[in-house]
Amino acid sequence: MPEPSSIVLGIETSCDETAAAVVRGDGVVLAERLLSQLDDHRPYGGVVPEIAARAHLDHLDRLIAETMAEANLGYEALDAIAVTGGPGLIGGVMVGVMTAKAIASVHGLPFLAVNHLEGHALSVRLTDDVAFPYLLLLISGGHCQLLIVDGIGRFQRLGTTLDDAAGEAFDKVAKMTGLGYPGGPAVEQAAAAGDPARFTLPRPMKGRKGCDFSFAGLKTAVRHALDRLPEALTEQDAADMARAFQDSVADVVADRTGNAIDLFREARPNGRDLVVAGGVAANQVLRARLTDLAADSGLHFTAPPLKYCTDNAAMIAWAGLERLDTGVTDPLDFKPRPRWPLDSAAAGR
Amino acid sequence: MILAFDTTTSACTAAVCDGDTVVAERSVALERGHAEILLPMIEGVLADGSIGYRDLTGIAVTRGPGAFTGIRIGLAAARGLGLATGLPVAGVTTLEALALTAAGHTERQQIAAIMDTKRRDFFVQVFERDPSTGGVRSLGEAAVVAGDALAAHLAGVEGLSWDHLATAGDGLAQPAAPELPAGLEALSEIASPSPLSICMLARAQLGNSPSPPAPLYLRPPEARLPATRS
Repeated sequence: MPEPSSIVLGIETSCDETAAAVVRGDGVVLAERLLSQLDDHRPYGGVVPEIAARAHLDHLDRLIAETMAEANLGYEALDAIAVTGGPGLIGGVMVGVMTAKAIASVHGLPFLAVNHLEGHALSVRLTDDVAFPYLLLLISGGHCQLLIVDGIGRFQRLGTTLDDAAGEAFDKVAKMTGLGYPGGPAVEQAAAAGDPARFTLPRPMKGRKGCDFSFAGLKTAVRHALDRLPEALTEQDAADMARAFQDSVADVVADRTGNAIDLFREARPNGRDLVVAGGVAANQVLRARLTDLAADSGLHFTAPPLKYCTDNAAMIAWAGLERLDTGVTDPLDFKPRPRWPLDSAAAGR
Repeated sequence: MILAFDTTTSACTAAVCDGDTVVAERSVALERGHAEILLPMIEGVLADGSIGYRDLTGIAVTRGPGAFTGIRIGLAAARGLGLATGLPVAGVTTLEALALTAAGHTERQQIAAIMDTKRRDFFVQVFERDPSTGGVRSLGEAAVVAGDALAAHLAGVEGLSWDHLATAGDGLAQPAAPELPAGLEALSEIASPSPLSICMLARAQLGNSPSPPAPLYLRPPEARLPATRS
């Protein structure tokens, strides 16, 4: 665990949230600011990288100043600067990294380039007392992976998506059904009024060995089912399709996570926890399935509070605190990494 | 003393200037990698001049046009330095800094800054010497101009005279650069602004506690609205 009195400024700019947070080693978030660019991207039905990068530059310095003011701290009171160094949209990552390098240089502070995925992976330890090793389902707009978390910088990836991320599939289905952007909340809300028996969709990868995911075929199946509708799409059609899609995703995620639990229990008999992180962890249906699944296998299920499941800077500051404790820092010539797998042995996706 | 740097061109340059004197300067020609070398370069320049951040009175940076990522690398660093030092930060356009740089290398009265956009067109702005300040003043707005329209664009700038015109920037050094009327003096070797030019242009602003400098992209972001579903 980090030194309880250490204080780190965290910066996150890798997708469509501009965020800064000051976090102490005892887990107290002294101040945080987050600016969502949702409205900037909504007309396009997804995140536009150049629009995101421009917005990060426009707002980041002000957010940091506000965060430091609220924490009532000068930069000299910090023990390190942590910033998302990748993976993510490189234009935005650059903005955060350059800002962090500048602050670190002026005050001679350790500079920590944090893997955004490690931020998600460790965020549970900011809020909950979860010990290594644990099994992590990271499920967001950009990622869908199952990992064993053994420690800081120590991950074993059990499976990942072969094509789309789960959140990406939610966005695309929401777009096809006219439910709007972002797709996660829109699909979940519509699905609540949907008939589960109306459409039958496939369960890609379900029943197969291993822990990989695939959502591209599911998305195509949704499109074909919509194309076969005799009349223009109604609100009820959209709700029924949202329900069918969400049920399929929940089935697939439960199946793949079940396989991962078996592997985890065998490989780490002392492991006690199943943890979920990432924006899709907000989905209540999915959460309920995972809670049941963990209980059936004798694991304890933990999800960080929603604001630390989605992209945020407190998790980056926290990962920085955990890293600082190991004594490994990064040089100021660090190169931002658009791709950066957590498990260096897991090349490619 | 002012710390100045440029990451908007095919070079990464940093320097500290004291009045009209360059105290320390480093520059590397490169297409990519500004994000890696900029902060070590700044620390190197400060060390070369035995200068600390606390000895500075301001930060000056080019704010574009240029590569979008390059613009943001410099501006994010400059704004971060401004946050961390409390110093004022001034942004100057790369085109004006190029023109001022070129003004020291020619006798011509007018200078067109012409930068290659890497997208088959050019960032262009025309300046003339300003005897009252010893600097330059613009003869028109900064613009993005297609290669085959460049001559016409320049000819359309009020007061432009080919026989009094020099050009700066890497635009005319490109193999695909259009022919321009004889008479002008092409200073294509001036591809990046000198740090002294950036400092001189910034100096006027730095006294007025400027707000953080904004990028000059000259192009909207590339983004397509989705087709509406019928």
